[in-house]
Amino acid sequence: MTVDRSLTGRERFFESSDVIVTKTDLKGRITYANRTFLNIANLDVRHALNAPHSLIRHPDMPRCVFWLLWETIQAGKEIFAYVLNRAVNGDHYWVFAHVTPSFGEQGEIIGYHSNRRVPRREPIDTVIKPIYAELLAVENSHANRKDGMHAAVVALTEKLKSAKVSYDEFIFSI
Amino acid sequence: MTSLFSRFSPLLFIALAGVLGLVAVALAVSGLALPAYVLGGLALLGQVLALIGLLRERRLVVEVTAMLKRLKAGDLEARVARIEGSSPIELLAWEANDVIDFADAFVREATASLEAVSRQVYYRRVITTGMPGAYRRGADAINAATDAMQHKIKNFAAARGTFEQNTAHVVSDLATVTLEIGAAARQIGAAAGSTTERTAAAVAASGEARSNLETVAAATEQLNASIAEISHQIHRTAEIAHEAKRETTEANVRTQVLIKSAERVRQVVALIKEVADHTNLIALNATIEAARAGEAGRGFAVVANEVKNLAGQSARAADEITGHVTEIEGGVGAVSGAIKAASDVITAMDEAAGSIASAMEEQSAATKEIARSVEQALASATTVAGNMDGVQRATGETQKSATGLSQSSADLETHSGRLSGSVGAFLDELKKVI
Ligand SMILES: Cc1cc2nc3c(=O)[nH]c(=O)nc-3n(C[C@H](O)[C@H](O)[C@H](O)COP(=O)(O)O)c2cc1C
Repeated sequence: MTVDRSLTGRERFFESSDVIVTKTDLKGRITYANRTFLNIANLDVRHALNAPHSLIRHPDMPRCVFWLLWETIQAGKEIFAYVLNRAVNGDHYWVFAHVTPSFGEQGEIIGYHSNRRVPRREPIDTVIKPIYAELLAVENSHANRKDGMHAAVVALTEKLKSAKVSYDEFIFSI
Repeated sequence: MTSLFSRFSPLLFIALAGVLGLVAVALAVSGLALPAYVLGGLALLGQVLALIGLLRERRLVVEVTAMLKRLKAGDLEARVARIEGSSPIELLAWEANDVIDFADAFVREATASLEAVSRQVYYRRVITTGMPGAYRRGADAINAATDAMQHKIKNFAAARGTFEQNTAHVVSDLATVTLEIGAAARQIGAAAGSTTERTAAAVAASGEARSNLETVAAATEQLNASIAEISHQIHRTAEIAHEAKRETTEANVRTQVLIKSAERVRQVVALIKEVADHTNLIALNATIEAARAGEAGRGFAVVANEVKNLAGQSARAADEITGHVTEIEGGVGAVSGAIKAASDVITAMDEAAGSIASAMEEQSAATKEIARSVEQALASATTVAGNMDGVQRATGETQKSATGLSQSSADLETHSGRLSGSVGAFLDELKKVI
């Protein structure tokens, strides 16, 4: 399957009464997607199931955000993030994503779950977009992907430290 | 195939098979065998397709049932993931998924928010966007509770902060004060101890001083008495001396009179002697004359002789008197000298007595002064002794209370230590709460 990364520049929206839901296995392969997800991502069930979640990755998203996401959920904790996604037709849409582990009977992580709600617009335009652009620039300034991502993680950490807030506090404060 | 089933319901195939079957029967009755077989075959195909469709729907029903069973058991992971059409059963499955999605979302939100509260994180609220009906109300209630808790905790934390600060001050002040009290108590105890010793020494010294003063007072009194006696005697002496002086003056005057009288006597005697001498001379002349006159003169001669004798006797008597007067004069002179010497002695004695008297007076005044001072000193010594008694009593009590104070301060130290400990423990517990 060739990866189509073309962008239309069209933004998609969903109802604030709706929640975009997906579940993944431990590797991030989609095990469940609700109708809202399929609609907005322009996917059908057969293409969604078992596909890696990066299926809807948008090229403007800094890698370090996903790194933080995985670090957090693999530690058994929840994370909130503003995420820009790419519908498979090349459209894009913003979500306020809440990603959490799902726990088994023994408290072990059996998979991951994400609920995305309609984000507030204002923080996206005033805070998130500039920060993501900055982090992306840091990442792209390195030849090596990994080095770039680490540099961006450091940059993000420094930003939070100088603001004297945790990532969670930061997300809820904007 | 899948799209075929997702587009057409099995009921359509059954209906189609029924119609085809009926037509096939009709054709067979009419003797048209071949078309009847064909339609019959088509009807059979429709039935097979209907059966396949029904089996697919049955699978979904089974899946939904199994999902609801898991849901009933509280497993919110269950979903029917593969739903490919929009038949009523498929829509039912999607609705069932949505139902569980909402329940799942609510549980994840509520759990996370409450866990955050238990970690004293209050910004993590239940996100109510897209949350419908009762879920929304439940979420609102949880958020309101978190709000209230945050508010209370904030106030409580402020109060705790103040409390902590205050108790820290109080406890440290208490510790300092306790130490100071302890030190003070020890100092007081030591001071009272040495005061007691010194007081005892002072009492002894003041007793000694008093008896010394009493001795001095007695001696002074005696001295005073002697001085009074001496003074009295000196006065007496002075009086006598004055009397004696007066008498010597009188004696002197009398002696002068005597000397004048003796002088007069001497003059008179000299006159008598002159007269006697003259008489003798005359008698001598008369004798001579009588001798010349003879007998006639004899009688006269006898008288003249007699007169001569008498004159001689008078002259001798006069001489004798002069001798006596001289003797008297010599005696008077000696007496006068003696009187003068006596008078001088008396004057000297008087002067000496006067200076003694004034010395005595001074002595007396000084002694009286001493007596008064001694009396005062004695009174003071008595007062001191009395005070010392008081001091001794007070010091004893001070020492007792210093011991008490020392004990109390030790207790206080223990208590303030305990207080500090329990306040610390209390604050630690509080910090666990907030
Ligand atoms: C439950 C869950 C949901 C996720 N949702 C998204 C998503 O909506 N968009 C996205 O780009 N990545 C999502 N990810 C992260 C992807 O797994 C992946 O890390 C990310 O797309 C970056 O892909 P890349 O490492 O290939 O660049 C999700 C991961 C999990 C576990």
